[in-house]
Amino acid sequence: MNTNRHYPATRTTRLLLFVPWASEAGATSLSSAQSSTTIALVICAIVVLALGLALHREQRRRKVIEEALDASKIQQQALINTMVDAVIIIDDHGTIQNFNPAAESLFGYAASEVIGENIRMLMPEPHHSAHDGYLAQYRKTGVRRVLGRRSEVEARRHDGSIFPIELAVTDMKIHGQHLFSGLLRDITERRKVDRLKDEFIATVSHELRTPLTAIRGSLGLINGGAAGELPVQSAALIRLAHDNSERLLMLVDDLLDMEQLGSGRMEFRFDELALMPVIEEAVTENAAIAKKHAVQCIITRHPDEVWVRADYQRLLQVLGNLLSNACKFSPRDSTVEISIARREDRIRINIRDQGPGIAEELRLRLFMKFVQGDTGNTRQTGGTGLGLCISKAIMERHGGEIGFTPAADTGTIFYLEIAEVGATSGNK
Amino acid sequence: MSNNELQRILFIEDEADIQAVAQVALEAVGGFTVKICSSGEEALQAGEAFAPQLILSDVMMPGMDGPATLLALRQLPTLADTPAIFMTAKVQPQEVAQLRTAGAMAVIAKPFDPMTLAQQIKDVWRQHHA
Repeated sequence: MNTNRHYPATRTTRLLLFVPWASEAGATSLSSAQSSTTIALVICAIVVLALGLALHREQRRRKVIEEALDASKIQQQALINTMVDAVIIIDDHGTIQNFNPAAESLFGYAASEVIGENIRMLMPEPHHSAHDGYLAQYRKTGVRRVLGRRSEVEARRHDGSIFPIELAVTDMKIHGQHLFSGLLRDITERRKVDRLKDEFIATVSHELRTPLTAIRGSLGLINGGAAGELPVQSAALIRLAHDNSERLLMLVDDLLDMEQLGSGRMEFRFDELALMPVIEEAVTENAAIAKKHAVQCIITRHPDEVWVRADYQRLLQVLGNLLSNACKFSPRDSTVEISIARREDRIRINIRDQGPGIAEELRLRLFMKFVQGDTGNTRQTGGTGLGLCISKAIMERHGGEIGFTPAADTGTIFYLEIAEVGATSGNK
Repeated sequence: MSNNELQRILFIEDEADIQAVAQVALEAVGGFTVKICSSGEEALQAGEAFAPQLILSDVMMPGMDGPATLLALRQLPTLADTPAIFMTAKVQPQEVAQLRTAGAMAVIAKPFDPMTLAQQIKDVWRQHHA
């Protein structure tokens, strides 16, 4: 009996101790089948325990991640809620998902009034009617209208009033859902300041030009002999005064151009136009400066017919700037060569002078404001130091390029590059 | 002298100094006969009697500006079709387009070169009558 009672107790002990092979006198009496079952049970128990442990660890890991995500969501929402700029998040059908407090105060709606509604409600025409179409087009083609850039548009408040905003839109994908996040800023005040600035510039321009017109006009008439012959010394002084009044006028023009380019208010009228007549006109307009410096401007080679998309007057301005610079820096009785060549789908205009070249220390700053090739006390060429900076900005608006390279022997080659358009598509 | 040759110009400009320069540029250099008016109102009173072949007008003037003056002059039967040129500070292409819409056949930029002003006007006149 004792043995019978003892047997299961011994087996239980072995199981609990996980040492079935421990040397014990009674164990040797177990059959091999019993031994295999015991081992299988033990292995199962180990696997179950290991799985349980792994599951527990995974649950803990998930919990930590979820807590971190929750914290991140809370932080993000707090960030959105405290932003000075309005933030609106919509899905790819235009349904508002998020509307921060700045947006609430900007539009006069509570978030609860707009979340779930279509973003159209915040837009006046024409975007009010067209916005669904923009989104549908984006879903279909991926063509971006406002994504990734800043734009200025109009928005509509709860009370129906319309106001200007600056808008930056970015997109994101969360769990396969396409969302768009818009950052909006009221620019009513900025527009008012811009208007005042415009008026100020117009006034200053007019007020500076009126006396300058009279000064330059009077000096020009005397200089041209309209008021009779002058003694040699007086004539030299009048010429000096006349030249300087022209320089002052150029400075006013350049400053106005700079201001307009800087503020993006310079108007451009792009047409498809034949390039050669523009270059010929620039050479003709520059004839007086070339004559003054005893320099000859010649067009050495050009393709038969070249068409570009450009603003005629602005391109003329850039060419005039490069030609007058080339003449000013050329030695007397030298030649300024203009050549035009195709470079794949672009046109390159080279203007080569035989001047002293660009000083090493000026090369990196040449297209910056108020940089002049001829500095120091002996400066002889005149100019405002804005010409190349303006030319660069104008060429950028043309999607073109301006630059220079030292000529092989002496002088400098300034070049312009601009895209060529189909020769047969032009109409001017 | 053919009937088409430009001789008589009605010049409207509020600035006395510019008037003086333009008078020499147009009369002494260009050989024109010029009637100077200091305002749109003065041009309306004296314009018809002078019977100009061309109206040359500043744009920014106190009271009636250039386009308003031209509009009013066009109401006078004898000046209804008289060609007009505006003179104004360097302007944007859109503004030039507006001045042309207002009835100008050309826009001359200020400040003008007094030695070539007369020739510029003659060129515009010739193109207009070509």
